[in-house]
Amino acid sequence: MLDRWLSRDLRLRQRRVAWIGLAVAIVLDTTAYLCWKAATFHAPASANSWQTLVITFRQPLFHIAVLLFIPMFFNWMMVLSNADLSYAQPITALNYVTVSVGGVVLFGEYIPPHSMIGIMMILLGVWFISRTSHRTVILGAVSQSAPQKAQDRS
Amino acid sequence: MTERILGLSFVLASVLLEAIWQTIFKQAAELSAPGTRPLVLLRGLWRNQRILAGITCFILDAILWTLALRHLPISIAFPAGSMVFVFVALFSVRFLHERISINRWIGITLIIGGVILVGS
Repeated sequence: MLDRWLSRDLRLRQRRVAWIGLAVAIVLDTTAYLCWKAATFHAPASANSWQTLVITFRQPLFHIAVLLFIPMFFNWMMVLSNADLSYAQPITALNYVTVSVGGVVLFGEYIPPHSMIGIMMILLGVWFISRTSHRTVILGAVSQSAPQKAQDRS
Repeated sequence: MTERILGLSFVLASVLLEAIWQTIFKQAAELSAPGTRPLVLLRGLWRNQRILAGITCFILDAILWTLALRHLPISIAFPAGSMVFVFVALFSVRFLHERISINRWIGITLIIGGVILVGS
């Protein structure tokens, strides 16, 4: 019975939910990071570490970044209840890509050539992980998972 | 030199803590709702005590990472921080009994290399 319940349909649904969650995680993480960064711009260059922290903590953009932690937490738990940690966590490295692009678009930053190669490697790495099974098969699902395991080895 | 060793110790402690809180969160998610319904997950999390341990590790991790960034330039902190992908993978195998196929290891290795290049 459990075999049937944890069938291919369920696995496909879990995979879809995990990927939607990962996309949401990357959008939220990038937004929080860029808000955080923009909030630090208000501190003058002459400020010491402590003054920088105090000035940053008073910025509305910083408060937005902190508030974003709540949906980020629940979304991440949703991802983890549908996918392996060793599948989902490395995919969040896409943050490095979106933050770099966000830096170019919002703050006019420059991406040096070695960083461009790094971005390509992250994208390729995520592609490799996306080719693997999103969830290690447990309990009665073993007998249903032969095609998935075959895909995992490929 | 001492400054660098201190900074790298903070990075190491920070990545270990991240691997720990990620493992705790995964265990909590798994115990709370092995499914796709958000409300069931929320109710399960509310009753799950270990989530507090995970959140504590998360806050400590954020503090240690901030300290690491005060002692190290980004060009060293970010590549060193990419160790987190190794620790999370090893913890997933050891404590969560996940199977990591060769393709996933290739992906993780590429991502670590990519993060080192983006940060340096």
